[in-house]
Amino acid sequence: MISDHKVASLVKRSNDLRYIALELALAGGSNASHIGGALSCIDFLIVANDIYDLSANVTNMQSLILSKGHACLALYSLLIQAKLVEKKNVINTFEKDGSKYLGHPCRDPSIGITFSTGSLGNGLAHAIGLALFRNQSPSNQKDIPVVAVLGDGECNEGLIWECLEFIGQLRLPNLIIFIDCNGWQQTQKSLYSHDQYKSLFERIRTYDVEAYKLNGHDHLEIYNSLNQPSNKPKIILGITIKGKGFPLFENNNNWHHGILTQSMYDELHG
Amino acid sequence: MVKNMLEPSLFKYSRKESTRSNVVGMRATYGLTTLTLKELYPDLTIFSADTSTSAGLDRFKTSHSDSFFDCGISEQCMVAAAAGYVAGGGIALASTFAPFLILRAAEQVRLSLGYMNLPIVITGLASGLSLGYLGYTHCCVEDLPFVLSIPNIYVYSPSDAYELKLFLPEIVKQRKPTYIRLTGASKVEPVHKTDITTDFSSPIKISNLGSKLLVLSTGSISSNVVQAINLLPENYSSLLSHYVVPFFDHTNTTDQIAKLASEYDSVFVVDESMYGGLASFTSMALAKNSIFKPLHASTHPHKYLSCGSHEYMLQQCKLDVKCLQETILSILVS
Repeated sequence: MISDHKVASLVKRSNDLRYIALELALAGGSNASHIGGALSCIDFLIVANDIYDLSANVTNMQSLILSKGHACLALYSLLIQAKLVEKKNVINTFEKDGSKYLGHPCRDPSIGITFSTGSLGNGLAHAIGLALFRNQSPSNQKDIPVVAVLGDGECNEGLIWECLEFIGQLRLPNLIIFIDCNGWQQTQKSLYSHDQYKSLFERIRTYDVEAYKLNGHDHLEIYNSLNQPSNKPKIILGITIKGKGFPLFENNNNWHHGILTQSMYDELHG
Repeated sequence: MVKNMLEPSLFKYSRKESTRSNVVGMRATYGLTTLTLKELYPDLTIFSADTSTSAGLDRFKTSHSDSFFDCGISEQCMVAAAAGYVAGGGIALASTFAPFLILRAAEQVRLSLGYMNLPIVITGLASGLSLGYLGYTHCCVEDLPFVLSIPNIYVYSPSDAYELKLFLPEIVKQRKPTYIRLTGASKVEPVHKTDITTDFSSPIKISNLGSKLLVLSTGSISSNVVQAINLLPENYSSLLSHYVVPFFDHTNTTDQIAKLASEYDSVFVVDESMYGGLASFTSMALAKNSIFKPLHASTHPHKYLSCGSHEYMLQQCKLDVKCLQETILSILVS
């Protein structure tokens, strides 16, 4: 159990991160950026970061795998908030020619990005391999789990289900998977949202994992699920709101990938 | 300019060892050699996709069960998980049948070995036409073209099983993203019959008798080339040289092929691949180095043929010994 004060502090950090993401989206300009799916997973990132100290240094950060790579605004914002990268540098180069901060993360361990993601499904398989290696090698950051962040739309990929079959065999206790169930995929309602993710959750529970379904914006619920002792991999279905934090974006799939203008930014920034 | 080449290494030929490896073929030799690799690299881990027996890995699986992971029939998961393992700092090999490894998991191969440049060693079993009797679902004449189109991937296409046994530890030692392409039937005709000197990027000499024609081949089809050349009348066989091309290293191999080709009147390429294999690689090597030589090729045609035994498939591609002999003769006569 954590104090109300602690929860309030996590909420504040989430809000701060959302405003950094907003600045980056503005910097993306006419190339547009994936705003909705970044904002929906931020609360989980903040809590996971608080518990595992992911952003303490680039080595820790290498444990975080953003399998839904299009949500890179959230990842870059976390790197900025942790001062692992320079904000000015990211803002000046986001989605620009020759940049290392593209619209999907590119592998660069020196800033804590272990895998190039964006091609959906692959990040989960990478996470399994990394967790397996660390589980076998006692000296390798066994105290920090590998944390993979997936989208609900991403679960359409067959590779996700190949991975879940494999996870079932491996019983990796150092693997945490968050599925950001924000209700939408690129052009339509999420294929799993019709029953409020009940059947997706039941399906996932058939694997030998510790499964949770919770409010993905409730810092306390996320905190408690991550803190539950377990010798199995954890899969958390976080029910979220796409575009969370700004009425203009919330539950509006036009903002899956959109152009944020200066006037919109000014209005949102108040 | 040739860059980052290894010092040439000498491997002493042993007829007994060659016979022992070639009689069991590439796949069994691969699997057995992983036991040696495990002694050299105690951290070595192997990923499989429900094909441990086909890869000769059953002894490894039994002896080193903690270092063997079977993902089930999930090639994409196998390649991407092996990539994750390697990204953490481990040494990983992954293998399954070539069409499923390279074509079904094409995106994972491109992403992990190519784009991210992660040093996984993936091995495609039964590439080429050796499983023709199972149909084209189990043949793979597209793997070399595909993999050669991806930057960063080093390719090793062994000429015979003995060479594979000798070279595999060195290939793994390089810690490069690598595709090992195993071709040929369960028993392989030996190609190497003398000591082998190699720098792991240049073509390897099999015979060097004349400068009229350079014959280049890759994979186990090289044994058909050796036999075809042996059947030529001496006044013709003395006009040509035969090199195998086991390594495709984009930094050096193209330049080495071009340099070699410049010493001959014409070049003849033999490969079980479709467009994009050794013949295309050679033509690019010549073009890049402004070497203008007549270039001939016997490869798989750009269509799917009626299926059957390996020999039947090779005959349709004019890659059997008799057709290769006739083709070489016609090039020399012309």
